[in-house]
Amino acid sequence: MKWHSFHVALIFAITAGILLACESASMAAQSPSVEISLERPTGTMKMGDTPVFVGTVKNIGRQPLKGLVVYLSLVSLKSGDEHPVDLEDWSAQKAVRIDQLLPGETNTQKWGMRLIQSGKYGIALTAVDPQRKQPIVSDLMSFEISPKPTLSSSRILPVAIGEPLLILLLLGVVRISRIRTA
Amino acid sequence: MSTFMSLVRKEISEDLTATRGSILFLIAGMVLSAFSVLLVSNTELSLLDNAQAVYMMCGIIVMLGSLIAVIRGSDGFAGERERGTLESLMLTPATTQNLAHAKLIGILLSWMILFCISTPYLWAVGSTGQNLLSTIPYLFTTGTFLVLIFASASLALSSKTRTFKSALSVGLTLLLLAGSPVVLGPSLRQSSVGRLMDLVNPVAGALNTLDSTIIDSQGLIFQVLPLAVLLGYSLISLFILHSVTRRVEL
Amino acid sequence: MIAIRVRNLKKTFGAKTVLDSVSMTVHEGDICGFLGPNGSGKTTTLRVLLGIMGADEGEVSVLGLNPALSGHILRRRVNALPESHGLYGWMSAHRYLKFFSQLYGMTPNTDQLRTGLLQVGLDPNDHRPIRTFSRGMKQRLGIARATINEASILFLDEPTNGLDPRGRREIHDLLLTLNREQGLTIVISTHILDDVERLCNRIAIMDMGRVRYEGPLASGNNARSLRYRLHLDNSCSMPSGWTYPGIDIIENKEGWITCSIDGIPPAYAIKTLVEAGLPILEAEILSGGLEDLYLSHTEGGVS
Repeated sequence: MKWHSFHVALIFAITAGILLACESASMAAQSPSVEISLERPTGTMKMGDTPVFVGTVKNIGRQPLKGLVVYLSLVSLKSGDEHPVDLEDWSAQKAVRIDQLLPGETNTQKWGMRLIQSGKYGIALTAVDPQRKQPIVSDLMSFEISPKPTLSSSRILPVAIGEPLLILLLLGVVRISRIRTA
Repeated sequence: MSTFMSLVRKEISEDLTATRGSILFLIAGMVLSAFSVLLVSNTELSLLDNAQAVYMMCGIIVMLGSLIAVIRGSDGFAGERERGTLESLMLTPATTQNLAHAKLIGILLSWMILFCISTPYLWAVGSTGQNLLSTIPYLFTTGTFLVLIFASASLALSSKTRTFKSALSVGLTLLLLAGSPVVLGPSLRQSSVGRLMDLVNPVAGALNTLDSTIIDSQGLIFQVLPLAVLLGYSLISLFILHSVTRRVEL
Repeated sequence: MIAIRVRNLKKTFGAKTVLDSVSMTVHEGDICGFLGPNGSGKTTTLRVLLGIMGADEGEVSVLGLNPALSGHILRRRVNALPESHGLYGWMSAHRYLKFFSQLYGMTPNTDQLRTGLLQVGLDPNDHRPIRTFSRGMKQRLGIARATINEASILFLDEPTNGLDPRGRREIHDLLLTLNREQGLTIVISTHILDDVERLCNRIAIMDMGRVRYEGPLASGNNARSLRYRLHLDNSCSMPSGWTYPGIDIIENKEGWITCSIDGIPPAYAIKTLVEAGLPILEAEILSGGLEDLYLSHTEGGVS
């Protein structure tokens, strides 16, 4: 039997189709099943403020998700000194575990945070599905924490040390003058 | 010089000259200094903005004033009785009411001295922040009311108790009872019972006024009710003092 | 004129009766000794008279005023030294005297204050605080304070406590001078009978809340019913039937006569006996005098 080009092309197409189908199936197996977003807190943010970041997690897949872990990541975006920030001093809220998220269900979590240092920062919300290899990360939200005038030790310390001494001195003067005029 | 003015002058001299009086000012200065140093050295406190630091400082100042009022008031009659000087005073044309009023003026003057001592601390802590200038008159007003209330109550108690220790125990208990609801958590204070307690409690009224003006930058119209409560308590305390000291037994 | 009149004064503290129908009278110009054991009610009586303590019953009039109603007016016209001095330890003597002068509405100048201190033997240039004073100095200062205003009546509670004999004499002289020159009425509450005998012309003895004895103290000291034992010259004897008012011969035996002298000064009685022909070699007091009077009217003694 003669192999005509038609037969070759057909075999090639079938093989490509099978390969494509496999790839598609693999990709289908790895596509995100959750959609996450992070809301920017309202108002200006300055040192000492305690804004609340609201994150939402939605199950966009067809299967219920179990044991989702959701957490915030904070990064300093100071030019030339970019580094991750330990949230230990900033937020009491650690990672949150969502027991179960049904298809189409949305879960909202809040992270209260205390802005303890001024500067430029980026924050993102990450969701980890134990059934999947890839965590899902929200868009990086950058924000600026403005400094605020805090207490100046150069003004306070002289008063704190000097005033009790001044009081002592004044009381001594009053006593001595009373004795002299008695 | 009238009898009454002689008594007032003696009270003022005793405040400034006698160790018993003057040591209180030194202690107050040291407390304010310690708090100021804490504000700059403690990590948590150093993050406070100026308004909050000023508010905390004002709270300490009015409580120090109230404490001095209780101590001096408790000593008013009971202390004189213990030291044997009350009888000599009662043997003069001065009435016991003259004596009570003179002691009250002496205590108010102590408060004014404390207020003057506190002003540099307030400047050091709050001059770069908000509302410092408006804070000063409110601090003076609320502090004066509280000192009037606690001094009058303590003097009245002192006229009836035998010893300074008894008068002081009761006075400090009253001060603690008045001050303790303030340390309840915000959620409790937001409840209906908490709000009612805040309304009728003079210490809470004073601290809420300071909070409202220093931190929330609210004007006089918001302070009318708490200041009216403070004024009411002051008038009642003065009336009680005047009545109770009409006749004092040795 | 009556300076102090007390009738049926009663005062109780709870269940305890402190004053039980106290009555006494003090005339203007009197120096009245107010005697009695501790707890007899002397201090309470003085406090009622001064209007700093109320009574439960009875009538009290001091300079025509009711102390309970007009105490603050009365206290401008009287002065008092309580048993506890009531001195302010942080003040100087000068400052203390000035303060109390001002309480009486006076505006003393420096010289007047200096005179007041010198009068009681204190140094007007001593500016030390009173807490450094000795007990005697504190007592003197208390007396200076009590005599600072021109009072009509002076009430003194143990005025010579803590004073040495010279100090006591100086205070006696001061009080006698004030009484003589200003007609100051003085009521002295004291345990020291010597003070009473030297100063007072009238005494009231209190015990258990009652006045047990009230009356004039014979001039030159000593009170009624003195009993003497007289040693006579053996060559003489008492004329038979001899009597004299106030002298009662109790026993006449072996050159010794025991007699009771009542209501007349002892020196006068002895003079009378000598003029009656009795050369007295020796006189001995057996009993009587203020001490006996006091003891007989207090602590359950027969009044």
